[in-house]
Amino acid sequence: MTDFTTLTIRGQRSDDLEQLLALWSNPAILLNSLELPYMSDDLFRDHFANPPADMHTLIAEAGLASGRRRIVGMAWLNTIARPRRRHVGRVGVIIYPDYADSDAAAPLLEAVLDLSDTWLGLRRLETTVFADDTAASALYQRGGFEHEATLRRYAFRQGAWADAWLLARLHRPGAPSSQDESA
Amino acid sequence: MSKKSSHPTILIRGQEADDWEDIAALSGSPQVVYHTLQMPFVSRDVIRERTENSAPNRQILVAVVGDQVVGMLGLHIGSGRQAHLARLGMMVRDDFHGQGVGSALMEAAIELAEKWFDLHRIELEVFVDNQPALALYRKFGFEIEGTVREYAFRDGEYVDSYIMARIRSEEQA
Repeated sequence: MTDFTTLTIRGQRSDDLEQLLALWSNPAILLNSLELPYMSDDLFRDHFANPPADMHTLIAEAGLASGRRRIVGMAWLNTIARPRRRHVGRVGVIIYPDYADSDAAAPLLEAVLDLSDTWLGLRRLETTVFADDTAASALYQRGGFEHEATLRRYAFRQGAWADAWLLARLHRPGAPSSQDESA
Repeated sequence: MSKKSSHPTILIRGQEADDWEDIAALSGSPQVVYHTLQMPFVSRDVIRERTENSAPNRQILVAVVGDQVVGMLGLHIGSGRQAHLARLGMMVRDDFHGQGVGSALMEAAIELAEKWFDLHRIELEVFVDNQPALALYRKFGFEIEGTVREYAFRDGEYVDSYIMARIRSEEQA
């Protein structure tokens, strides 16, 4: 199930909606998010057709051996509008559990980091994960995120309040390239 | 007259549209700007608009001394899987620091949050060097959960903050 021949990271397209709704309806993904089940098709459509201006969405699409293409995950980067926090981005990655251990998750996060470091010049990227979501925290930690805080009773999940971790990665943008240094 | 503390009489009430001029003076006072995420030189029009059109999931309390609003506190209540929590932000005008305004606001806010809104988590962020605020939050049961590095830009540099939360004790639940 996790076999794929190619992986494409690309922007969102309008005909992705059905597959994205399916992705967000996956029980394991839902569980470890802040979303609720029984998502309305219309609300979902509206949200994804009209993303906020400060939201960047990345789609991971696998080319399967059968020749079919399938969306296996998505990521987003939200910049913060408040003037004194414009150096901060909030990041999220979701991926089908079947593909979590594959080579799909890391390139998706890498693409987000590259977007931030190469194009947006953000200094701080942050995300929250449930404290026991070891797959997610391992993914982010491999990407350079560090644990900053444990947020007690952060969200309701499976009938109880669950703790979350605040993870963040710092980056110094604008370091001169080697050409500049020699000047 | 009985010998009481020298603190002025503080009235806590909900924010009203007419408060906007006092709130403009409050949120633009230099120490408030320094220790919060407010900006200098904010147009009074912006403050007026914000005060008159407060979001429904936001509960805003103000502290009145004499006939002036000198402090305010906002609770931003979560929804869905975070309906049990609120984010808290507050400010006290520079010339009223150390006079019990913060404590009066916080006491009212905690009662509102826990005894009326049934919330179990109140969270806030505070710059790591804001000692008076840290002392106030600790006094009201907030604990440091971690350090948010380069949380915000302030007067030319990036500054860390603590994330703090008060968890409602089980006995009250």
